[in-house]
Amino acid sequence: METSQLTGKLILTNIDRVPGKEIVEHYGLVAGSTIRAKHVGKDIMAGIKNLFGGELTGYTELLNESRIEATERMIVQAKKRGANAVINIRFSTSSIAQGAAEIYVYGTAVKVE
Amino acid sequence: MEDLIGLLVGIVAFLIFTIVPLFIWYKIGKHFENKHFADIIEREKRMIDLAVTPSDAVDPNRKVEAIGLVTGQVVIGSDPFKRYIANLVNLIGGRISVFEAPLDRARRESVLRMKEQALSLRADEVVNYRMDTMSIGGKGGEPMGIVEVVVYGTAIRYAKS
Repeated sequence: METSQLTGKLILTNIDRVPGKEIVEHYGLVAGSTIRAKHVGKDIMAGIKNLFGGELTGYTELLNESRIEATERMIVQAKKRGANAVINIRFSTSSIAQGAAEIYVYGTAVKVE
Repeated sequence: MEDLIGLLVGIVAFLIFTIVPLFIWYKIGKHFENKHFADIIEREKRMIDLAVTPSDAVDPNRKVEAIGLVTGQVVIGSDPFKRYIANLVNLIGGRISVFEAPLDRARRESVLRMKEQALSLRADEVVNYRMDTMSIGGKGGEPMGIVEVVVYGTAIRYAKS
């Protein structure tokens, strides 16, 4: 089986198993989070774009980068424990302060064969 | 007589400083919205063959070759016309239909992005599809500041038999 392109070595999935493989070991919950403040330049641009409605590309990119970073942190944690897959992944975003968002990713680290 | 002139000036000022800008915002917002919807419909047709399902069932009769997490996200705002109308509706309550279109746009666009990512992994289907909607950075009383839509799922590629 080919591994996920997103991660290189690790299999990531948000279903509770890895199809075609068997879970042999369980390493518990792994999580990653980032808190991002809005970039000043992007904030101004988003403010202007918000006058026209529609997508705020600057923020989309920002949250996308943050999500990738949080996922990478989770992967590092999973690799440290010797896992080769993370199953049952969930994402959550919360606005913790004006202009700052937290992105939290969590899942279960397992070894599959 | 002077009262009447005052009233007329008031009405004209209201028209010039409120109705006209609102109409312009409405037109601008509508223009971008229609353009985006046309694009969404076109891409939806193109990617109709890729099934996306909220169930986590994988075809047991076929061999799974690869899996991977795919995500799509959109951050969307609303134009001043929509916010103005929403503020008015908020006074009496009821359905705020002006915000339905932006949310629809965001949802469909994020699903399309997820599908594009899945197709780049040569996936046959996306299972366990989940959607989250969050309001981020909206000021206290303001109806719908900025909304983020995140969708994710597991892309499955079956082995070619």
